[in-house]
Amino acid sequence: MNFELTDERRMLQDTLRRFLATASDDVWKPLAELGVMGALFGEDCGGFGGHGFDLAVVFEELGRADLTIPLIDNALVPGRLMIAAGCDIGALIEGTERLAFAHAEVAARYDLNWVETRADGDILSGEKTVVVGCEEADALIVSARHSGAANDEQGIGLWRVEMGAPGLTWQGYELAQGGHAAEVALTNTGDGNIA
Amino acid sequence: MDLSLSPQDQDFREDVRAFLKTTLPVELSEKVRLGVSLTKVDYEFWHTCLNEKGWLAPNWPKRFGGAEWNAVQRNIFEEECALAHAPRIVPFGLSMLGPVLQSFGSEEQQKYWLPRILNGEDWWCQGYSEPGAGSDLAALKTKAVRDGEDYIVNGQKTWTTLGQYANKIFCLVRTDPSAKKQEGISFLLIDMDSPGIEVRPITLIDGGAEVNEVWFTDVRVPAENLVGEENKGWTYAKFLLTHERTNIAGVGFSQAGLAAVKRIASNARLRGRPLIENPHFAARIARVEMDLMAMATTNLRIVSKAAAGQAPGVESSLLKIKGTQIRQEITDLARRAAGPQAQPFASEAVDGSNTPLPDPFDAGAVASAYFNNRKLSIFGGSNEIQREIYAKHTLRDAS
Repeated sequence: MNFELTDERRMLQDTLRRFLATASDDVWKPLAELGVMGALFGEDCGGFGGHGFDLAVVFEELGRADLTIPLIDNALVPGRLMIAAGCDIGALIEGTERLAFAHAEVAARYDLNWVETRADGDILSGEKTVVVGCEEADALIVSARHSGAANDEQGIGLWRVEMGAPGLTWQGYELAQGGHAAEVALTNTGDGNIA
Repeated sequence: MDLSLSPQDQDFREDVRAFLKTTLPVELSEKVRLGVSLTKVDYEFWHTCLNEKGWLAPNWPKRFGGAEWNAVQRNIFEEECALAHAPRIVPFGLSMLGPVLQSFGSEEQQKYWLPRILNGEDWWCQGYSEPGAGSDLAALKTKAVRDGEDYIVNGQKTWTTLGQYANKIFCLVRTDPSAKKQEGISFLLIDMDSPGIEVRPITLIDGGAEVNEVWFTDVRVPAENLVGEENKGWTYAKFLLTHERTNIAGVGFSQAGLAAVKRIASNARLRGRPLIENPHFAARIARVEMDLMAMATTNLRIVSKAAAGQAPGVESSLLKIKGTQIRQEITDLARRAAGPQAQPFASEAVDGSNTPLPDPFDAGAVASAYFNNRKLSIFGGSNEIQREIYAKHTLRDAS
């Protein structure tokens, strides 16, 4: 098995390492311009990577620079969700848009399908916990249940909710592992269903 | 062996409970219960409350202003204080330096320093650990050179707990560099306001800065601040360490911590049911609870043998190992019980300021406590060192 980086990946590694050595606080857009967001996704979605080795190169360099930016929470996870829902992620790859995934709920613990937030048509109500990267996001991808019981696997949909949407409130705080998250409350919040 | 409490001991327990109920403010016990770090004022307030009651120095003889309780009474007191979430009494003056001065200090030193510990005039910190010495305390390099009526001290101490609040530091210093490493050490009392002392905080993974580096550059210390004889400091240091290890079992802390685990696990939900009903989680709680009950009995056995005012002997190593293992398991379980809710964190919780964090399970600063208590198996002589001490003692007796 060959673990040698390809020339493209080595270039990404070198560029990223040089940039991060002198990087300032606001690195999101500059990173996108260097192709970091693009490296997280495949060519069919507008990126140029998306494989394990691409991700490894990016996150090794971020780790080397001790940079706790929510790249997983604000780019990788919401990007993959958008792709699964058939949505365009061009703005996310360009770094002009950041998204956060508002999914976890206090009662869910580690059960991914435990969703009590309700969707009445496109009107959402419920509470989400530890939404990582919420404060930095332009919009949330919110999971909500349109049918079934709290722990059913079926009946969960995803909605895009702009941070300024009526009925959306949040309170931010620091995380033990570094970075920020927020508790999010939705009260009759209406926005577009992405899936 | 009869380990049940005598009627007098039970009365004593009731007295302690009644005192805590009337004297300890709820705002303060809530800070302790939720793991919010205490301010200097908090510590001083509780110090004064206990001093006014005459209960500040349980292990000191009455002639020095102590309560002179026996080991069983001290154990009861420590348990009740922990269960009531009372602030801990900063041990450096009361449990460590006090007994050293009483055993090895001159009469003038006893008359001058001991009352100042009780009335809170002096806040002592401990100048033992050094960056290059690791667990080998005797490898310390900070040196003191005699110059007329003074010593001149140069070097560095580290992990100095609450050094930022202290106005005095007791230090182990090397006064004879040519002697065998244990034989060239002296015990010095140093004013933290002396020119040439610099205190630098160390930020810890729990977000707080309760420990410090203390640097000494040509610090002049009056020779009258030498405790006992020059180059005999190692004897006093070892004596002090056996006192550091009293209450090292921390039975009360663990009992309070176990109650917290059960509270969090009752509030947290797993698939709609309280987490505490989950057989796997309940089994881990049961296991540590049994360990704790066994240790509490062992602890009682050992303290009931120790004479009034004295520290237990080599058994304290055993209590240190077991006690810290149990406490670390309990802080681990508390963090696990909170699950994803252990992530909200940080300076707010640690400082006790700003907006409160979301805390749906009433867990408190559970991640901070988990991180902070990693120190338990290292401080006060690491558990590896304790195993060596215990093994040496046991094997020597066996041969």
